[in-house]
Amino acid sequence: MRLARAVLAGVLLAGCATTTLTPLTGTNTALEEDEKRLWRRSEEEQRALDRSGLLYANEEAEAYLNEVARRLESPEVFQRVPFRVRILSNPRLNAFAFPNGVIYVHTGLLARLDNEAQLATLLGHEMTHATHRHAVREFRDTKNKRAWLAGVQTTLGGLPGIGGLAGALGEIGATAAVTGYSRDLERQADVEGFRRVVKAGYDPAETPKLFLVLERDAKQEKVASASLFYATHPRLQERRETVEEMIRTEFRERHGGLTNVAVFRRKTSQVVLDNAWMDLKAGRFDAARQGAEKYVAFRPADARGHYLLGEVKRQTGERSVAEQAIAHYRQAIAADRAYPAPHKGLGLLQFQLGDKPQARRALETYLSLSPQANDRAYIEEYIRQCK
Amino acid sequence: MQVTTTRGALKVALLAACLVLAGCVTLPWYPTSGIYTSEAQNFAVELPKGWMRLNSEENLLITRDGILLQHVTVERARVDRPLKNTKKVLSRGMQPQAVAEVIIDNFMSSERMLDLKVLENRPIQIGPHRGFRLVYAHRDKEGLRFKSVLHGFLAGDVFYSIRYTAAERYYFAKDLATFEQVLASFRLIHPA
Amino acid sequence: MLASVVLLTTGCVVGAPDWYRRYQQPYRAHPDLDRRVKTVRVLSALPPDIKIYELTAGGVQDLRDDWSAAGRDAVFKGLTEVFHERGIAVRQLTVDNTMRAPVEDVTVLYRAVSSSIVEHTYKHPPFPTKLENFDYSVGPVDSLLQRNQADAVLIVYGVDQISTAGRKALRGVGLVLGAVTGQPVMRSGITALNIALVDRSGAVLWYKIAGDDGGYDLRDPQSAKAFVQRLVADFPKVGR
Repeated sequence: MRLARAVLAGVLLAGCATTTLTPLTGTNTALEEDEKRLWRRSEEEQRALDRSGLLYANEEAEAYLNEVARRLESPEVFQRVPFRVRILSNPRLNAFAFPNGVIYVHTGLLARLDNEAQLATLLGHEMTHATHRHAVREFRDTKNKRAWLAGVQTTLGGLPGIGGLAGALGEIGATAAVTGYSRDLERQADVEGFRRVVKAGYDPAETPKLFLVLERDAKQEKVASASLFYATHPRLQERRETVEEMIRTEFRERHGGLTNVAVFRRKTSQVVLDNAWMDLKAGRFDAARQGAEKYVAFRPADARGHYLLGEVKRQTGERSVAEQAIAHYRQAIAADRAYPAPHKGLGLLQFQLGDKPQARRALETYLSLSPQANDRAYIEEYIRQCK
Repeated sequence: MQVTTTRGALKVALLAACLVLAGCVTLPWYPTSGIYTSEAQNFAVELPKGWMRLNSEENLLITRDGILLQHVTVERARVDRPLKNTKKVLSRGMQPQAVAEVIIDNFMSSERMLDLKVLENRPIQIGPHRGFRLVYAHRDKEGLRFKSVLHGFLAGDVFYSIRYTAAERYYFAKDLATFEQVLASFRLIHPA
Repeated sequence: MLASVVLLTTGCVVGAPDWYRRYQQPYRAHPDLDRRVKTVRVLSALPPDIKIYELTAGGVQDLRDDWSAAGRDAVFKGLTEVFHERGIAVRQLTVDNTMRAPVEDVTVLYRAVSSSIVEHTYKHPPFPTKLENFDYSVGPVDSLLQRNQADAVLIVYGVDQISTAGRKALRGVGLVLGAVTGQPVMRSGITALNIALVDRSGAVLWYKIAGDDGGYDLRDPQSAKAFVQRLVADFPKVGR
């Protein structure tokens, strides 16, 4: 048996590939064979993702994100890693990068950011995963672990739960998005990403704030986000402390910098509104309310924000906030009298409250403003009940 | 994966048959025939010939060719049971429009039902109950496009749904009439 | 069905039910196969979807594009030769921009059909109804036949796992240890092919899966042809 173990150890050691790779930011770096395959698999997964209907269609926001990404890295590196940022319609707080530099940011995360410096922090982190070849490093590491486990399995006659890593290469996105990378690689992405952000002239003080936003959200969702990349290793607080330490030491001379709040708000306000709707559909009323309030703060004259706030309050079903909901609907109507939706919201709420004459009036106004409404049959039924 | 020889499969079949005879296991599927009555679920429905019914205590599920290709379900849930994808809840006395909205939001918030499109949403009468009819299409992660018809209503504290889902290509149209017959035969044993 | 299984087990019947005899067959056939297959002389083959994985010592599957491309060519060549010997022409369908959507429509549904066939006619317990009336379909395929002026569509997909040196060596160690400990020995990888003959209406006329535990290499044209021969050994005689 001892001989067999020795043979086994030799086989395993011979099969180990190195996981030390120079970053693609340097010159004379070429992709290795398994890495090229990872890139090709990534392209396949991206094509599937593009067809899935999950992409968030907002060219202006997407172009803006790509513009910010370009500020974070040189054109030479862009030639080696063709970074591209895309947005996914998903209210969960997440972002992930494929090894070939294609980055997906969820609307949920984008909607929580306050300015361009925080966005740059997020993108800088993800870009580091690609430039520092974290996917292939993790993949090789996994292969080696599996080889080791296979050896143990053969020797001991089988362990439960150690099957083939089926579809490892078909799950690059899932690995990047859900599992995340090892603690060390995540830390490297934080540190190197932060350096990119500071180098690009952004205000370093905004980076820890991103982690604070995420910490707050994780608490609010009662760690529903434990499965999400941004709340995994290392823990958010630890990650925030890492960048705070860098501000005290490496960047102690740096004070202030770009935040580009105004342009950030202009380019992402629609994302905030759309994402708040997604939160509302998922029944995350607090998150939806925060999103709607943020949108109203950006665009106080836009009826859609007030309408959404009215919907959030109405759909909680709490009578105590009914007056607030009515106030929001009225603000929406005042902002745009031809906008049908707040009349419907108002009508449904007043129906719930038992004020049938008011309900009927509002619902009839809704149908007159939107004669082709696809919920006409329902509304007519409500009106009949009001008579 | 060694499927060219069926000797292994036969052995398994015989073993399974022995287990069935000994009362050790129950079969997962039964052929459908005539009226299906579930006192526990409080409904009766006439099932089509030539389909198979999943042997489950919970909800009724029948298919002819396989669940991926087409299936009909009758589901019953108390209104206080949390929904899978939304934190929104149903409540007794809700209007059909409001119930339909929660059900759609539950689907919309699912990460499995991709590219969901509601094609029809209107109030209907299901026996003595006011309910709704939804027609919607979605894709799964493999890209297969499905189409569904769902009739739902509240009876007291219980939400009932009768749903037909099939691959949009070929299968949906093929068995839609069969579903409509199942739907027409549906009744509550003890109306609320 | 339960009654049939009971009778079979207790030996109370002289002849097994029809569905049970069909369950024993390695292939599945449409009830109207004999009539419909008579007019089939040219097959329009979708590009075989062959995925070849490198199977590492740890059982990790690493999809190899170069191997898969070689496998696709070898399997198609094997199909062409084997069917030619039976007097059937096989023309590969070129999937250009105009054909991409119709081909994808069919293949995506076919995957679900194939998985249902395996689930309900190969696995235990099967659906006797589907064995008695094997009428699966992928919907009309006229557009896939037109370009090749073909009579039926041939859909083939498969997987092959090729062991790396590390896994082979580990398997050797496993054999030694297995002999000593009596524990099972790890497999060196599987080869599997799935084939379906689909007529103009979309009906799956004939369907089969063949699998082998490491005896074939789909990258190699000769080995691929031998496996295709095994796959279609009981393929219906067409064009009579």
